[in-house]
Amino acid sequence: MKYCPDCHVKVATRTERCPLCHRLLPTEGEDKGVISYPEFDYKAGRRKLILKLEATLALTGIFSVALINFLTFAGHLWSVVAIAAILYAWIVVGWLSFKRNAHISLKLMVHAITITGLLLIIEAFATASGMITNLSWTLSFAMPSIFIGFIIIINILMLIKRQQLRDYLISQLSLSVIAFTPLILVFFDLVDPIYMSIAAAGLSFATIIGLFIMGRRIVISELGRKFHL
Amino acid sequence: MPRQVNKDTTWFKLDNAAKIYPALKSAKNSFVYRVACILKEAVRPDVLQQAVIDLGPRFPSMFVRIKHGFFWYYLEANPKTPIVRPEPALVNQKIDTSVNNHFFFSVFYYQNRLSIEMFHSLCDGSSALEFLKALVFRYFELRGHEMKNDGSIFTVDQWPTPEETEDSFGKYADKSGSKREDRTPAFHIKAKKFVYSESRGIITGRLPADVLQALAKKHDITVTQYLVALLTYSIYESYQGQIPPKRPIKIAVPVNMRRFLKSSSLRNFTFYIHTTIFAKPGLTFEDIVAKVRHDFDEEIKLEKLQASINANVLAEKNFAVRIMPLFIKKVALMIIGSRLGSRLETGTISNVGVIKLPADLTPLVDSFEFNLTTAANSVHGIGVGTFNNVTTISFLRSIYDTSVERRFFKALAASGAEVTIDSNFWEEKA
Repeated sequence: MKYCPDCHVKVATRTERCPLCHRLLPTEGEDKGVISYPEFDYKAGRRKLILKLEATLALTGIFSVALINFLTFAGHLWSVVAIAAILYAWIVVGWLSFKRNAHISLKLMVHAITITGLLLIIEAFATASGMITNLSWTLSFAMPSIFIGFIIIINILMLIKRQQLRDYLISQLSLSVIAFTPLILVFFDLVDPIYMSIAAAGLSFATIIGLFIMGRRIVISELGRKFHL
Repeated sequence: MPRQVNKDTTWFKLDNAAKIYPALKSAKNSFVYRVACILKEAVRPDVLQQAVIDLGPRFPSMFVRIKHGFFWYYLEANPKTPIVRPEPALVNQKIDTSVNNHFFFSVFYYQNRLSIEMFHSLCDGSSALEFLKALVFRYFELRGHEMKNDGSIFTVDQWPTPEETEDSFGKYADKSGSKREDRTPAFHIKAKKFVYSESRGIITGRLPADVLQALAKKHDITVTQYLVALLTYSIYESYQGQIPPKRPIKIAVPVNMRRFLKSSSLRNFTFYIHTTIFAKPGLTFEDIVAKVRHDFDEEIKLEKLQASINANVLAEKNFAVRIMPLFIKKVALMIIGSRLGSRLETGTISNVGVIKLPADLTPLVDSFEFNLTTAANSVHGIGVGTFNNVTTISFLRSIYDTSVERRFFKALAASGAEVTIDSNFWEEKA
């Protein structure tokens, strides 16, 4: 084993320098020392690099469209639509979809809500004046259809993965409650025709009741965990 | 035969000490520490994997995932299996649960070393050490060795008791009065940090335990007190030009509360005390020894520790705090964490003491290592453990500079101890 005459310590590591004072160690004997720790793998940081690259591209895109809209402004804030689409692509598609720790039901719920929000922005700013004039198509058709679609997808996943029912519960219950929104908007005369809103509310009600009837024990225990004080 | 638990119904509230960590964890503050056992043979991953699986039912509070509640985080039994992996070069980095089936501990192997990296919300160092001992015991059972338990090992044929999963802070908190800790900001070492925020350099020193004990005895203090004094002196000598008069060198020392209050809990039951030394000119090692002895005597009094526990549990039980939604709590905890936490300490040193194993297991094990993590402000974490009359002192640091370690080990060598040094030479890697 090598010895540092300055620090007066033996050095077990396979090295030419003392780990403490970094001076060259005298070379004596056959014992070259041991490699006690693994080599550093620079590839491990690649995922973070991709996320940083995504952020750079998204922010550059946002800045560019905002600047072009400002320099060529003709009474229409079209860049809001582009910025919303970039934010959706960056945060929801690029980040959340590939976030390995988030459960798929949470990802689906967030997608359902953000797609609806994006469509609302597109419809609002797609008019020539740039003012919010008519959201009827999104509120009457798109929003309830999206909620229906995502609730059905999560229901199918719950049926396939019955052993992991607990993991889907809160997202599905939350989405089902949110899916009553189109029906509520009926009372504010924002939705016409109303049949898709009724369908979304009906499916939500069936999902909530079905979960409570068929998985009562799990639902109650999960709610107890989630809301414990 | 390993026993089974109902994974669908098992869940736990986080214990009092564990509550803050999930909200504050980051690359710089991972709140992850490592306990490792160096065997006398190369670790066989397939056997290790089976040993980990077998221990699941015995350690229900560790085989969990951390879930978000509306008001608090909570622990839920994880139905999946932890995956043993080759040891990465980065030690104590933030646990990436996605590569380990959402477990908050990782089991690694490298040559003869078998290590567990544990997120602090699950348990303290002493409990993690029990888990490691049980894992090594089970590993050698599966390797075909005839192993006899002397009662000191948690084995797979035992049932976990409710006391093992209890929150002992909550159990022992009472209304006898509460006291907040000293909140004087500590001196923080300003030195060039490693480029990658997850990077940590390791320098480990091994020396005969009896020599170290004799050195401590010479100063009429315990081994832990001696090491705290030597660390403080090494920091003082290395950075004395940088230390403002109002910023003391504060060393955080975890105290195992099980020594004072009866508890079988395998979760957190550790409390931190601080030694506080103002760096006036001409400070000698003897001055520091006297102050460290005084601070230990003052801080480690049951009534004082009890008052600190009461203060922490009282804050948690406050109705306004309890009904605050978790996302607001997280912001509040981040603010508290930035004002307290590592702001109050220059470094941390934890001594798990003498590690004993059953007679059948002792010859199969070479040594133990304990790697404490660093934090944003506290750039040194020192873990100490003794096995077979060898004390292993492992420095983890987040800076290039190794002058504290150099002075520390040089002083031990100058006092007559034969010190053997090992390093991951991180200063040459990143």
